[in-house]
Amino acid sequence: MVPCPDPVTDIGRGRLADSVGALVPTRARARVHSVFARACNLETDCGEMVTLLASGCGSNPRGIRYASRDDLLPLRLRPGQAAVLQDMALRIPATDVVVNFSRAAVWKGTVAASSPAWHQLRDLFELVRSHAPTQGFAPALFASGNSRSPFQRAMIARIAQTLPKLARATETRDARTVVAALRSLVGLGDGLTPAGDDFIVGYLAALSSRAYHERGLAALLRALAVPVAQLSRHTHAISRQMLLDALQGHFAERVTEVVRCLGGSEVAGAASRLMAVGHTSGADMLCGLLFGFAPVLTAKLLVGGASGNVVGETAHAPVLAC
Amino acid sequence: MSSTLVKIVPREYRDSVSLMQLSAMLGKLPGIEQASAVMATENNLALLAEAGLRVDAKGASASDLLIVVQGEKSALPAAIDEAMKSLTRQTEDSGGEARTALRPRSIQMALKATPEANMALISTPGDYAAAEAMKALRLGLNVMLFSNNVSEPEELLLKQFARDADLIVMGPDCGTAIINGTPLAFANVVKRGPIGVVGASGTGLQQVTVLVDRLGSGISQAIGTGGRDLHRDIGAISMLKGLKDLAADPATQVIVLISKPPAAEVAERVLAEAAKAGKPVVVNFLGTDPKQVGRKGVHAVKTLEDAARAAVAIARGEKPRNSYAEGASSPSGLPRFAKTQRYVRGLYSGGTFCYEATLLLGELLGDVHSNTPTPGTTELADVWQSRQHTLVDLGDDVFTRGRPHPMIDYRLRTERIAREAEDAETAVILLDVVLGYGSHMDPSSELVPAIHRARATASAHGCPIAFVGQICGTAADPQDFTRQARALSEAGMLLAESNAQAVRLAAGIASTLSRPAAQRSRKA
Repeated sequence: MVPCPDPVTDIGRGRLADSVGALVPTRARARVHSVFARACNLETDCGEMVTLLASGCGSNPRGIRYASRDDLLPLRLRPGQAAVLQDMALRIPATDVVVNFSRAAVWKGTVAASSPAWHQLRDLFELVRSHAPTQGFAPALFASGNSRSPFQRAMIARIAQTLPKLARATETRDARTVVAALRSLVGLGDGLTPAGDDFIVGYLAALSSRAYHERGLAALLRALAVPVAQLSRHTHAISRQMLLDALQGHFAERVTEVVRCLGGSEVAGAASRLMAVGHTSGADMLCGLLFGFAPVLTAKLLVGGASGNVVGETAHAPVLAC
Repeated sequence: MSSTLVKIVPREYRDSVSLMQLSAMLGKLPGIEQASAVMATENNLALLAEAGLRVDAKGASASDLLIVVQGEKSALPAAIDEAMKSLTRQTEDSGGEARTALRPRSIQMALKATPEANMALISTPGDYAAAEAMKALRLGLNVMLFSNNVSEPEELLLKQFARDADLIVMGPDCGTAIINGTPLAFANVVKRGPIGVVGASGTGLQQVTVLVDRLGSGISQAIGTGGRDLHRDIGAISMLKGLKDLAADPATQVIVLISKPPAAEVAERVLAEAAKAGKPVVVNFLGTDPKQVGRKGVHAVKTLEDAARAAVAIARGEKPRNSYAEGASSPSGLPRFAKTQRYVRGLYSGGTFCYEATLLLGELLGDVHSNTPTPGTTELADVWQSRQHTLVDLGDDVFTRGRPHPMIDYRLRTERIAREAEDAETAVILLDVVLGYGSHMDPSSELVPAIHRARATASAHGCPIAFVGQICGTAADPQDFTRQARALSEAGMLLAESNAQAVRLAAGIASTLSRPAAQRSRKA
């Protein structure tokens, strides 16, 4: 049996975390769920997810971020290994991993209030149009990438069908129709976190930000909480947790950073950092953010996108000229 | 009739890149029409059905990975096996030996670990690139700036700082260099020798260095400057610095300068310095008249090939010729073209190759359309649609947004080949194949099947197509030049020695077709 080190007396021996999410439970038993080079997901006995992050990753409402380790693969973490959260430390006894987060900054992940004007979003649209990958939501909005698999074509058709409805329903605060539209996006698309889930997270972040100024949106968000939580059962555990946290108003640092920088000169850098998350995840969240801030105008881009215009000239150019 | 096979891998979480690579790999297997590796969510199952993949995934949950392949029934089990092997390989790779070396996380850390270094290669998103380049310059390092999306004012600031510190900034958007014999970014493995090259063009540098190598000579240094260096506002700061360094370099006997047409006053400044270099300088400013460029100590030429040949001749003590162009001999074994077939369609991965081809083809045939038009040719109205003679730089931003460059990823080109083959007016498809570091490791594996498919399509319409191309590579390149050349030749591609020769060959074929049918038959 591997002896369990005492995390409190092991501060010198264990690694220190520099960021811990406000939603990380202080006491729980868990198991390693999935392992990647820069993140390791743990699932607690209650079914909640906690993520051990490599240094350099953005803070996360359920993340414990190493202060100095930028690659988790050498830790030999494996799905199924037992883990314990206790006394402000995470221990994975089979690997001798001890991460002390007693001195880490706590990340809540709430978004700042913002109601950007359309012209303040246009640089972001340009950035997504220029740099987004050819999978995920961006091709639907901007018709980027001309070689699509039948799966991608079907996905783009689905998005083109759904977003105008979601846009109208959002602006009329029609919760029932919003839920129906989100129903067709949950778990949709390729990638580890399906593109649809990432988009919804960005969308919810924008609504949360606008809700500071728009009472109707605050009510809409409250009305969405239960039905969208139910919808989250239609995707897998990692995505589900991300959606549930977003419904509670908690987001990853890369998302909140874009919202905070909107309208300022630093927004392009923040958006680039968000787009660097995952393969398409960051770009899909950014698309969701843009959509959430300007649903009707963003949905109009689909006129160009779905019809296959190279850069959506018909919709894009006049919009940017606003 | 195609069949579908499904594999459900329970509770399997892979990162997005792995899943997309798996889908792409399966889609390329023999007998497979389409493949998908996605999480088995309800919406994805519905989407697969909409995409024509009839999937029976009873018992699958959103936490499971779904692998679906469609194609010839006999090919499906092997594809699923290959998918499972690939997943296992990925697991083993990620569980390999722990890496213990501390990777530097800043230029300063890297310099501390390697204090003898005098150059930094920077490849970050454009938003950060200028700041990183400035950090490197302040640390006394020369800079190769691979990144693009650095603004012209930032470029000027960096280059002025470098000039004052007697350093060089190669770039931004500098994709090719060979420094002290080491190929950097997209560059070929060439012999070392007496010829130094400074170029504001990546594939221009590759063409000249490759041809110098093939002609039996070698390269002392190949210095990239970035495409905007000879713009008026930048003033050729990097080219002048490269010229000065090569003039002082005892290993360099002949200097070659390459650029697309520079601003007139900048050209004059560069040529004045070249004339004072104290060594023979060969200049190829594509699109400018060599007679207006040449002067004492400066030998001006029209094509990249001529630049390489003239430089080698001078290095050997021979008198260089003004032009090495020879009339293209009619190749044997050409197909019997249909009356509708009249045009050349050039599908380029190298921007400078496309530019040079547009210049030459415009002179030889006229009616040339391109997304990199030259004086006398026409800008392509719709870059996705060819018109008359069309030459397309597929490395242009409009094609490469969110996808790898066509030197790495051949999909864009193979798809366009297929489209051109469906056009009854296409007679010749003209291609460049770039080898060397950074480029696709086995281009013939992508092009040969595309050529066969295109031939089949075109022949079915009664319009057989000729393929003409050049391989920009050397025997020492990692892709095995001989094997690539053999595979492409066996597929029926007519291979020329250089881009210029390939264009002349294509023009030669097309010129016989452009004549009225009656005249052709009388000649026959």
